Amino acid sequence: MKDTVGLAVISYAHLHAPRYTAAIVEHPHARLVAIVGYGENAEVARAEAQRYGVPYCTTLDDLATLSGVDAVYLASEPKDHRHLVAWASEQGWHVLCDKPIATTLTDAAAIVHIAQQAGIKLMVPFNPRYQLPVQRIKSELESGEAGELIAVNALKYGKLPVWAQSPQRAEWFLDPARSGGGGFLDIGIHALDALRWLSNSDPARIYARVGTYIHTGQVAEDLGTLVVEFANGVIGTLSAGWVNPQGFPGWLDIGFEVLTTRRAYHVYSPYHSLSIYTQDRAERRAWWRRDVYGLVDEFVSAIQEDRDPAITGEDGLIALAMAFAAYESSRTGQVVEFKEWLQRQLKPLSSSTRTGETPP
Amino acid sequence: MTSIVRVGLIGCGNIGARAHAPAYAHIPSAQLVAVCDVNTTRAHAVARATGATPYFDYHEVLARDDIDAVDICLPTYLHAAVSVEALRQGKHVLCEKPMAVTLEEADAMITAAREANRVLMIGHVRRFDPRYTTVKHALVQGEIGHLVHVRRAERQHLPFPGDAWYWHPHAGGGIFLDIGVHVTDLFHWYFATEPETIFALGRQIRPEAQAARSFDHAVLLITFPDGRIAQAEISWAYPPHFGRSQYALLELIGTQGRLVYSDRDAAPMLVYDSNDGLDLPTYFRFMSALEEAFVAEIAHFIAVVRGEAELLITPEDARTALALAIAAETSAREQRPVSWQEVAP
Ligand SMILES: NC(=O)c1ccc[n+]([C@@H]2O[C@H](COP(=O)([O-])OP(=O)(O)OC[C@H]3O[C@@H](n4cnc5c(N)ncnc54)[C@H](O)[C@@H]3O)[C@@H](O)[C@H]2O)c1
Repeated sequence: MKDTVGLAVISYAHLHAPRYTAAIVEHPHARLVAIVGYGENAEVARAEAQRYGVPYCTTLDDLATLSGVDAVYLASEPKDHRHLVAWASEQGWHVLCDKPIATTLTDAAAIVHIAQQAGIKLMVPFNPRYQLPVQRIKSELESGEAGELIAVNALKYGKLPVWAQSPQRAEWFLDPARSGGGGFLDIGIHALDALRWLSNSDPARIYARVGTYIHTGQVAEDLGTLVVEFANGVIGTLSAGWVNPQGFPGWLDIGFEVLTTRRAYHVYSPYHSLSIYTQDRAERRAWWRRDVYGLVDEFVSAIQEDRDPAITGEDGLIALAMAFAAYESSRTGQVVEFKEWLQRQLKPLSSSTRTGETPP
Repeated sequence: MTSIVRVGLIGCGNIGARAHAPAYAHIPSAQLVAVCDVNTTRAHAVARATGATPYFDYHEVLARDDIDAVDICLPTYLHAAVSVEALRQGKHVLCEKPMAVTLEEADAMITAAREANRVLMIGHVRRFDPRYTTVKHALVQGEIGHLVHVRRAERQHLPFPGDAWYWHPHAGGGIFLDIGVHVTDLFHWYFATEPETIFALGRQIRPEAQAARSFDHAVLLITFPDGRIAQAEISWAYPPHFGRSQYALLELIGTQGRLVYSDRDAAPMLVYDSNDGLDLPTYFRFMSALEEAFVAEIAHFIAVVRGEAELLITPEDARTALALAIAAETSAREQRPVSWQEVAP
């Protein structure tokens, strides 16, 4: 077993990057090797490299010359994921690829395929899987002590990314060509994976309404509500989007309501938080993002133990497909029969698209 | 009419005896003169508590010329027949929700009221509940801009045995009708426009629901023009000690902000009981509505009968709530979205 896994962070486009870098640095079996300033926010990436005392690379080629890299964390714009996963797999490096896995199902399928062919580990970090209350619910479902699962309601409300008080620029989040969609996709996708994980089943039917209600003309969509019936009969719902007003104390509002034949669980704050009130501001702040440490630890452990990570590229693809099925249902007003629909979406994938090249 | 309105209460069960009967003491312009239940013990008990005369056959109440109005708190399957009969006898009618079990019945009630030129009001008590009127007021004032999304939950462990009429699809209508009309009326009231489509999933979770072949758990997604969304979970399948303080949840999203209410917010008191664990609050007597809401509802009905007010909830509004609840059940049974046109008047 490898004692230490060398990790490079590629890109600071995503607002998550600083948090993951910090978790990598703190992990006892991970070593931050370098940071690459790929795309947006290169100056922030450079400052972070300096702060952590690791090499800063301006190009992928620079990174390729460094030794000691076993894996990369991709925090680029999702539109670049396919290209970057293909490149990393050529180096034989494992990939922790931030969500959404891609901006299209074609790219998502290609990414899964590329990783498989190269024999690298591919993981997509979905936070709820490492939030303590959600993990507790999952384990009580698995042990049978909670009885049978009936329904899960999930909520994920955030603010418009460009409102973030961060040196990182976030305009690209608002452009679906670069991000894959809008607010429902951006923050809802974590919960879509959580619904599937908790239900322990795959979606059978999806019905949804998604649209731009608040930030008209600025975003692909800012709010969506989905009802999903899983193959095993579990009901899931999700309401998600960039709907929190500036005055909301804190950034996210997350909820999970779970009903089983024996229990009801309500999780309205999955993080360890505190509140700060000043003359002009009320803020609820998480002081421990245990989920990020859990995700990084799972990725590092999967590499060390040479096993599949708990959240795979396939999981990333299905979560993306659930969001896109919601778009489809919203557009047509019809129920989407998920399995058949996904097969139809993936069928046109010819072998020529199964490479790292983004088709013209 | 400026004199005191003389009322007969028909049905002295849960809601009749506990919520409606005591309300009259707070309404000076009304007098409860007759109370009726086929269960003589119940009729006597309420008669003793209120000073009204007990009856065991509602026809005798309707036959009394000195009674102006009846307050119908019967099981849902009797709402239409007794309302129509009362209206035809010239009585004004306040009838508990749901309006009826079928839309044909609801339409017959509307017609009977029109022909008799009498007031027909359905007891959609949420419209008189200070929690929900406060929210409505905030909406009308534009405090969160234009309303675009509502999420609502009404959930509990229904405490009644399997042979109670509540469970039966043609008697109480199961969760879709009994609780469904509360949420569909709230959606219609808050969006203040006609809906477009209804989608729902239903489940038969508890043995009582399975035996009755009716639903006890459901989720609803109702859309209003411009894709605006109303989402609800309604359930009787929560665990027995599921706290009453968890019963109601209401979350609104507007173009300028969010508004959130839950019964937890209405309860600055925690009670830890060695049998029931933790719950709050103990000063709501009922699970889902404040006592004050019933008083306000009945007082409004009396004011309308006296010609002092216009109906805040018309029979057509109540029909809309029922039509949406029925459409939701159809959606769940037939596994398809239902268009409002299918159930619109
Ligand atoms: N607004 C609310 O929040 C709310 C709450 C609870 C119930 N309700 C509605 O109120 C209605 C009554 O509910 P409940 O819980 O009080 O039911 P219940 O069964 O406790 O009471 C009904 C009463 O009607 C009596 N009855 C039956 N047939 C009769 C007849 N032919 N003549 C005279 N009496 C007769 C029964 O003996 C019983 O006492 C239902 O439609 C229910 O949906 C509304």
